[in-house]
Amino acid sequence: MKAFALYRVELRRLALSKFTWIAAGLSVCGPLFGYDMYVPSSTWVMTGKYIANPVLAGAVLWAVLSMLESDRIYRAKTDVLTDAVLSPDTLAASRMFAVMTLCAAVSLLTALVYLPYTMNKVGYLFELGLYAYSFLIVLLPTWWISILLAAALYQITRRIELAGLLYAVCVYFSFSQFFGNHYFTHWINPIILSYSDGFSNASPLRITLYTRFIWLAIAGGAFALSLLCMRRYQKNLLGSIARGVRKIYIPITAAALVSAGVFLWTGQPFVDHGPIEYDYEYRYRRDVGSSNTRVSSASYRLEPNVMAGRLKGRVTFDFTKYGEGEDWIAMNPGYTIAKMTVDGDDIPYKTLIGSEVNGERKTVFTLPPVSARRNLVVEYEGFPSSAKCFPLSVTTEISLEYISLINDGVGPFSTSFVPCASSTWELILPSGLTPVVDHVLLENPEDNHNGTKTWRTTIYRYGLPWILAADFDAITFEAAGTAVELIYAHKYDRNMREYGVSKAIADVMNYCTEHQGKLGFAKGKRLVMLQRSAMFGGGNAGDGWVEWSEDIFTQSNLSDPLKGASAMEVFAHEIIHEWWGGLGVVCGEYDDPFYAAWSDEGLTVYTTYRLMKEKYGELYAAQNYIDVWQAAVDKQNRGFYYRHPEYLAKLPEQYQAQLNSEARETNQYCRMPLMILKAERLVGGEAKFDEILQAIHRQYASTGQMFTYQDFLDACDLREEDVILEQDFQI
Amino acid sequence: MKIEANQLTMIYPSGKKALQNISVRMESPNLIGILGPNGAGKTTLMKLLIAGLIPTKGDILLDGKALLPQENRLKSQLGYLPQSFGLYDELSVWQFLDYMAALKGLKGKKAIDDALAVANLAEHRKVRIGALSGGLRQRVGIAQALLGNPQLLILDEPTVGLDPEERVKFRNIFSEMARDKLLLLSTHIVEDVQSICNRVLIVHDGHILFDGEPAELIARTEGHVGVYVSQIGDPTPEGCQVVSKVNTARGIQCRVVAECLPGFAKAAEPTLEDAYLHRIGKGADAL
Amino acid sequence: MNKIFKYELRRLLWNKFFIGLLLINGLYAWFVLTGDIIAGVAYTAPFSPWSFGAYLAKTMPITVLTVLFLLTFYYAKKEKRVEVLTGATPVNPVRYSLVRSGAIATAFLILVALLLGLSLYFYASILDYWHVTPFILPALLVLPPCLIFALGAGHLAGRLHVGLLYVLMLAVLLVGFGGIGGAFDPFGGGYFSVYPLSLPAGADGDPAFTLSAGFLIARAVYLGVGGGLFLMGIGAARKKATTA
Repeated sequence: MKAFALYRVELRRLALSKFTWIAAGLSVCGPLFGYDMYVPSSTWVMTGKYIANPVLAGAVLWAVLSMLESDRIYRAKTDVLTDAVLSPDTLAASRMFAVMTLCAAVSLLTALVYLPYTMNKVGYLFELGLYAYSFLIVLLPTWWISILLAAALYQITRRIELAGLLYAVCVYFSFSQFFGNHYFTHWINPIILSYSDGFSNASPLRITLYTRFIWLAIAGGAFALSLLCMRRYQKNLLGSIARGVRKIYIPITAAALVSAGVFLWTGQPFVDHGPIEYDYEYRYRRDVGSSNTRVSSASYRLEPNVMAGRLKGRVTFDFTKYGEGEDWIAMNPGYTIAKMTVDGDDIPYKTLIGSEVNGERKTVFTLPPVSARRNLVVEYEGFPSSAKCFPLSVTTEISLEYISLINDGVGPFSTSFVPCASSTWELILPSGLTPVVDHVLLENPEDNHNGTKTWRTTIYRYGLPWILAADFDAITFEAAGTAVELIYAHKYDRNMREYGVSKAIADVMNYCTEHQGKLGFAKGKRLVMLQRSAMFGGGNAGDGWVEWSEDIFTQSNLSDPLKGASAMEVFAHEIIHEWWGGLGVVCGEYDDPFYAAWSDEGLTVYTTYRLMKEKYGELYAAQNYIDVWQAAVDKQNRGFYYRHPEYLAKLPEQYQAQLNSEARETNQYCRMPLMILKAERLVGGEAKFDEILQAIHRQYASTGQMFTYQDFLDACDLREEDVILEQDFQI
Repeated sequence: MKIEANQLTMIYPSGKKALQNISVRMESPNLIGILGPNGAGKTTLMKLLIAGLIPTKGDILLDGKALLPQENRLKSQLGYLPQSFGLYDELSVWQFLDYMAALKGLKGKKAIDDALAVANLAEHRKVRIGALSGGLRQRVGIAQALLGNPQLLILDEPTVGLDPEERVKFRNIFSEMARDKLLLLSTHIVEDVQSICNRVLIVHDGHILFDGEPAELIARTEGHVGVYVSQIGDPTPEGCQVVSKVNTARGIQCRVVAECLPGFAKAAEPTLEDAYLHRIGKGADAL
Repeated sequence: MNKIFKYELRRLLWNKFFIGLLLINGLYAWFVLTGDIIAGVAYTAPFSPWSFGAYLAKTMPITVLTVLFLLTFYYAKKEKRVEVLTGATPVNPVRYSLVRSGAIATAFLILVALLLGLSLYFYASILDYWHVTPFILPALLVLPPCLIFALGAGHLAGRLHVGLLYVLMLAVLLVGFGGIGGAFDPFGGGYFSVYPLSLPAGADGDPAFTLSAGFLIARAVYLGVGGGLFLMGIGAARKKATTA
């Protein structure tokens, strides 16, 4: 009771302190910095610009108060008086609770202050739930973590300047790339790369909430530990600890909290424990093995738990096996196999824990050799994780408003089987979600009359489909003689119609058809354009489909295409991939598929430049494309490790991976477009070059034959040394 | 060693008048006690005498010459213990005295060992100062003042925080030192002055109210101290300052100091404390 | 005075704060080496004089903060309470102040030795680079002006009010991590990472370590102004002994 009474008077003392009001005032101003100065989250989406960034900026600004408050009691030498009444640790704990209460009040005040402005700016995309969650999950716990840590450091050192310095070190730790750019080291600046206006924000909020729990536990543990260091009986740090541990509940609480933090960290379900670098050759190693098992049919049944973000699935393979040998399946490391049976009988299997590579994990078992068709059933369940080599990419999500299951996030697959060319799929989804499987919007669901619907489809290809589900709308129109189906989140309906998105798409398609030839579709004679959550980022294209991140369709982007040059480039770029890459000409080299500068990107980037040149003029295209490529190439040429690769080999693996990845990107997106541009000049200009490209397109599109760099040089009648970029090459 | 202060006035930048036009002359050997209530100006006077402050008016002479130009000479012969001071907690007692000895320009260990012995700190020589009790810290303060056997010792409340035994011991040490040195002792404890000082200065509101031998001060109070017995609820007679009250079987026996004793009070033998209170009670107007 | 110096060193260096600060300096330096310098600045080698200069310049704010932090020992309220004792001794306040500055300078040198040691270990262990001579000139250009300026400004600030030392620390943080850039960057970080971009590449691809007159003048100015402030601080020490 005494502690509660103290909490009450501490709260009153804080409320009467002038400094508290200054700190509260500053904290309320914190989010202002998120509009312009501190913008870690994508500003293309309205919720990112007006909610995520302000909240993230506000979270960073808070710590000094608790340190100064801890210091004040000693500066005034009131400890002589208070220690006579109450133990210093009870006092410190009561004060901490008072400060935390105050934090909650200030965060509520902050949320209320910015609410009208945010509602006005975000407009019809505003959701009060997201706004409230952002303050409750991102801002308030971060403030708590910050003050717990600051107070702990002060109580351990009892020197405000030293505690301040150590706090600065902790902040540096949070911001530093040195500790790896992943969610869990960011205690003060949670990573929210993007919010989504039209889909769901469950992924960033879930992971932020989880990291907040981790750091609240660690900071709370540190604070409890610091209670042991409270100076008493005029003893020094060690002497005080020796006395403090006699209150056994304090070290136990500290140990429990820190262990909880460490347990949460190590057991986090969001990112797997595979290698940090993508293993390009893993596929070849993995696929060595038995192919005596032949699968004649595969049927999947998926039942996502949208509240928990988990997937429950069952797959049935009808198989025959003509010899001995081990079989395996691989799937997302977040899933565990609940049961594996052959014709209803359990069979032994072994999941290779620790074998995660590129976001998948193997399970091995041995099927009996049988000539008659038997049936293998695998039941699995879990929370899908991201691959550690792409820890920040959110490709998989299961939530009330959005489901995205990509690759092995869908379920098990195996290349040790001789697979069947089709599979059937049954999806049990909440009524509000419409699935898109392999870029086909499904229709005619069966209503289960329990708030869910069952959707069924068959896919006619090897491997696993991409499954998305959201509140999708679709419009169909014709462009360059081709039927286009645009599938997008219902929330964007107004934007799509107001800004004439279909016309913009038609413009790009008309240009490419005119200059590079007509698209020949492998199936359906229809081009599907699918909008995905902003968390997906950028774009992607394949056979008869194009995907874009939603940020290309946001109000701020669509209302000013010039301002949104880079996003519009992605938009055009991904459509152009239908000519170069997707279902048109596939560029690559068989002998060096991993690091080659020559890929689909070169011709796609070049064509994007040509389109922008026609649209916005030569100066614009030169400034935004050629100059950008040239600057990147110049930078690469000057780079020390580019000039001295012998030193690159000496670097730590992580750093080599980063430099290699940067080099690959520069080569594909800048060096090669520049070389193609040089080729264009050498063959006699744009018109002549367009003729060559059309001829290439006619010959290679839809044939599946790889178009190599040598093929390109031959088509242009050039030699390798002609197009190589000299140091002083300028256009 | 002879120090003269002539018509000293000290006004702080805040406007506070700490000393007003005081003159005093001190020479060795002598042990002078400075008595006065809080805020009377005692500490200011001491700071002026150690060249820690520059007076607003008046001058201080050391052996007949201005003090400030001889600051180094003064400090080389000075042992000073302020009322409030800090010590380096991270050093041991010996290390701290060694540090202070180095600042005083003293060579060798003898001075330190002597000071440790006098302050009865020999057994604590290796203890870290941060771990010392309040009384021991006070003794370290005294020991540093005694380093190098200085000719002038200015001690501000030196016996604060010491136990009765230590207090008596230090009083005797000061008394012995005063045989060939000049010692200035500022204190609230009248008993300390009565037992060892051969001269007493009473400072009040920036003025010196008395400068002379303790016996003379006591003699001046003859006839102004009385005792009487009163009952609970009786008012204190006008013009009387009660020095003590003792509950007895007959009632409360009161000892009072007054310019004019009431008729029912019986005259008593004055002590130095009575004399001090009597003098303070009369104030600066009686100068 | 040797004894005083010995005790001042002991007080400054033999405590948990300095050991903690040493650790912080070391950790930060290692982050800078493995996070930034490993890439080389301005496309030069990580072991070019430019990169090495940038390394020192990036670590100097923390080192200067440490020096200012140590200076707070001398101007803290606790220290003022000891000054009533030391002020009554015949020690020459100027010499006393110089000895104490010498102790702080020694602390700085120990920190610098740590930074240099770490960088040499980094170069040798990761990049198999074993030379030292290319680093001498950048070290001379970065270190002395930083030390003298920190001591000068720190002493003066401390004498005026100990709170000003914390203001100075904040200024160091802002300038050190916000950056001024150009020749007048107090730590030189902005200069070492930008100026070589304007120079022609040498035989090995890295621009030669030739410095602009502006930068040299700036270093001299920092050294001179720091020295001046230091003398003012010392002068204030003399004055302090005789006034209220």
